[in-house]
Amino acid sequence: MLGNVLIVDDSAVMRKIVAKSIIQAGYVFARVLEASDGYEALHQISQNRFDLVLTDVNMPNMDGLELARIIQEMNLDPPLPVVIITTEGTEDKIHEAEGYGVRAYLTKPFAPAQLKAKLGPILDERQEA
Amino acid sequence: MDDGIIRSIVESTTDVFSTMISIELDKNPAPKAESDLQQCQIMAMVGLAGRSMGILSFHCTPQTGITITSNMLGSPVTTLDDDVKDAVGEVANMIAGNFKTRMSRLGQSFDLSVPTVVVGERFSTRTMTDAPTVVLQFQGGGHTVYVKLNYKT
Repeated sequence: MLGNVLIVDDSAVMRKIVAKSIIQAGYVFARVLEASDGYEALHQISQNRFDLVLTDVNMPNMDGLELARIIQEMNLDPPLPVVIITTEGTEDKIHEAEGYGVRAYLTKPFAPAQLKAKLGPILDERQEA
Repeated sequence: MDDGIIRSIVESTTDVFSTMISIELDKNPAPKAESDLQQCQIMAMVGLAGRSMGILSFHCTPQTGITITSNMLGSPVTTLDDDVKDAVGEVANMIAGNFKTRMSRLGQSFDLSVPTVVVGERFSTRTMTDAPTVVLQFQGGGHTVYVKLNYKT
C-alpha cells in the first residue's frame, strides 16, 4: 500500500472525482487528503508525509504551478512527485510545469485509464524506493 | 463567428460531456437567440482575457445540473446544492480550458478566470465589449444545455 496522497483543487466536486479516479485506476493510499489552494497544500505538506501530490493549476490565492515551484525548492528527500490535472493544455503551461519538476501533466476532461497511464511509472518507482 | 471557433466550442463541449459526464451530445448544435437562455436558471461563466478576449458561459436547468453532478460524482444527487453549483462551474471551466488549448493551436491566446456560477430566474447578462456572440443549443441524453461565447481576437 502507498502512503498518503494530496489532492489540490478549488472545486470540491473535482477533488471527489480525482479521488474516485485514483481508486478506479487501482491505487490504494493510506490516506487521501485534500486542499483547496496552494497555501492549504503547503500547510498539509508541512504536517504530513505524502507519496504524491495531484494539483489543479487555476486556483485562487496560490495556483498549482507556484505550488510545484515551491515544492521543488523544498528539496525533499525523497523528492515529492507532483502531477498536474488541469483544464489548460497549452504548450507554454506544460513547458512551465516541466521547469518546476512536475512529473506528469494531465488535462481535464480525463478518463481513469489516462490517469492510470500517467501515475503508473511514478507510483511504481515510489513503491520500489 | 469564424467556423474554426465554432468547431472548437462544439468539440470542447461534446468532449467534456462524453468523458466526464457520460452524456453524448449532438455534434451539430443549433444556433439560438440569447433570450432562449432565460429558461435555464443556472449559468456558469469564465472570463477570457489577453490578446483575444471575451466570456464563455454554460447554461442549464436545475434538473440537468443535478444530472450532470450525479454523473460526474457517480452517486445520486437530488437537490440543487453547493455540489451542483460547483460541478456546473467546473463544466464551464473544462469547456473554456479545452477551448483555450484548441485556440492556442490557431495562434490565439488568452488567460482564463476562475468560474462564477449564478442561480436564479429570468436574469439576463450584458457584456461591455463589441465582440461577436454566439449561443449554441446542445441536446443529448434527454437534456438540453447551452454554451454562449462572446469572443474577439
